[in-house]
Amino acid sequence: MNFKEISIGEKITDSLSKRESKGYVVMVDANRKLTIDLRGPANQDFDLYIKYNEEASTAKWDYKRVTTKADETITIDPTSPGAYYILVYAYRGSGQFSLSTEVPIEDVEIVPSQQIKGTLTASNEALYYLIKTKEGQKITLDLNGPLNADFDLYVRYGQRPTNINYDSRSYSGSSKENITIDKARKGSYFIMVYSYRGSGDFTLSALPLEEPKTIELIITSKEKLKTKYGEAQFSQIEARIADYINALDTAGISAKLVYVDDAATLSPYGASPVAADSPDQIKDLIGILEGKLNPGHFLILGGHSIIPFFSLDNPAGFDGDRIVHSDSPYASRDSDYLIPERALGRLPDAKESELPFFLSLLSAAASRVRRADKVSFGMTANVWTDASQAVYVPIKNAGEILELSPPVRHGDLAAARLNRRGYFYFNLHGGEDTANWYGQEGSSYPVAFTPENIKDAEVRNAVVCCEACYGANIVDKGVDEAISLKFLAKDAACFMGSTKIAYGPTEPPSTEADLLVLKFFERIKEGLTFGDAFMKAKQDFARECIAARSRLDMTEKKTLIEFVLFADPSSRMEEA
Amino acid sequence: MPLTDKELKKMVKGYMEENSPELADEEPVISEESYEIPEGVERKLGVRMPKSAKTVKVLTYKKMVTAEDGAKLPIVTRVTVDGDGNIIKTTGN
Repeated sequence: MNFKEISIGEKITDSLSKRESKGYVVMVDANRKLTIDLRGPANQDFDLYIKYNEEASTAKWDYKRVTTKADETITIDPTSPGAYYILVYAYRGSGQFSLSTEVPIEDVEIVPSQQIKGTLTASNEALYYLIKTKEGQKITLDLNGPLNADFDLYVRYGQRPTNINYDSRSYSGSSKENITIDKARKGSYFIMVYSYRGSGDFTLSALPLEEPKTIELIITSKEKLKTKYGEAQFSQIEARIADYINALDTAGISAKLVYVDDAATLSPYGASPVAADSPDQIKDLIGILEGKLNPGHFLILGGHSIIPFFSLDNPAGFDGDRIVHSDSPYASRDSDYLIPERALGRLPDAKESELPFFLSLLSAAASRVRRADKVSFGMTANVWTDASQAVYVPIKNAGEILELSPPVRHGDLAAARLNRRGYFYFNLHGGEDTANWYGQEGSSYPVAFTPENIKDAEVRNAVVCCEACYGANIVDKGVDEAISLKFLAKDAACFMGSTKIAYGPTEPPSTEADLLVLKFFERIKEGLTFGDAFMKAKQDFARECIAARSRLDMTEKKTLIEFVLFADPSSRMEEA
Repeated sequence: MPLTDKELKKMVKGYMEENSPELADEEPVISEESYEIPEGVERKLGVRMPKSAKTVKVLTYKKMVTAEDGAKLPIVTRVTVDGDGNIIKTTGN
């Protein structure tokens, strides 16, 4: 394909016929904020794909924006120096479009360990930069300018410094300046390089910052664990938790374990025990602990019988679900729990007689290595084939196909078909009182997948997403009664699914469960931790719903609260 | 004049027969839903939308079906209809 070069700030007009694509390329400097804006005809669906230093296609891209409209915007911040190839694709419909690129003149961001070059051409001239910081970080900025000039360095939190208003400055009479801020505030520090006298090139560097250890807050109940498994067995659980905490420490994560009903673990944070069977009280406690610890990740240890799910009213009433089991309120800082603000996951236990499952889960989490092949397995009810194909895209590799049920049934899936798959995607039927998942064609509902299917399969470290109704329903379930638990028992790294009836379309565009799983796969593929990917996928989901239809309807709200994550939230997928 | 429940059911019947025949003969529950974006959602996502709560009618068709192994599975289709009687969304499980 011919990629036509366009300039920054240039707005071009062109047209596409159905399924046609056109290519453009724009050259950009490093560390800029590049915005690419596509405006297409109403009621059509044009998409935008971007690839750095290589021609983009719908299959090969670094950035994409594929809403159901013809208006798409992508912002790349910061840019790398070089060429960004832009592909505009008419997914549905045709017509005229405009494409513009913009790099606003603004403060350039410096990232740690980076050296930026700049030039001041005259006395009294200034250039501005910013660095984003976490609470408590140490910032060291070094300026090196010409010997025959006098450049100064100014820093101010939250806004540009001036010669009069600044937090720190270094003005030695030469052009070699240095500023250190020992305990930065969370946010942005703005930097001014100012020529007091003379002109010339300079370098500005942010030396490697001392990162405060990321904190993971582990929440569980001592009394519930002791009551369920017994005192001696509780010691085994504690030992495994200790191993997990040590493993986190080695990985640079400081884990803080709190038993919600144990004064000894809470008193260091000025908190008091709460009722372990009260989700509201546990949520309030998490809020207090967050204020003290500022954790990056939140892990609930145990299933519904240890730290209960919230039982929320079903927004999509009349579908048969009276309540929705949810972890969403735990992931939200306020009572408006639809949008998560915390990267939270749960490592559930199973039945009282299945302690080895829980111990094994803790050991797997302690291993911290979640490396799996990037190959995938996907399976859908035949009636949802078109819709599922769209969700499968981020994890699908060349030559891989979705299994359709029917004709495929559980007995057709040998372990070899499932072995060493890094990603699993299921869009099947499920029921509240059955462990199996089902296909559909017409009024036929064959058994498509059962716990037996993974009994002898090698699914270690896999990421598993399931849209089946009740796919993540684990309340009062044993390992062989829930495929979600069975995957975890086989050392899958992550299971994402719904606790109740989940919704989706029969054909693209993706909505509800389809859209959420799609967003989760996209975020996982970006390399985010499971907890961050899950949180951001729900945020992406809500943004996309609102962008497409200016609303969140009741099934979209239900989707947001009923999907849960069973995974160590600070762990991430590493593709082998 | 708003459509009566009887009129709504009649209008949606054809869609159901074509797309969800297994539910077409079920009696739907008809409810009124108001589309709005909660303040917390706007705040957390940094979006700002015009405040125009739109009211729609939702017809929920459901039944339990029996799978090949005898398990009971819920089957639900929700059809959303605007004030003019247009089907604006369908979703199911």
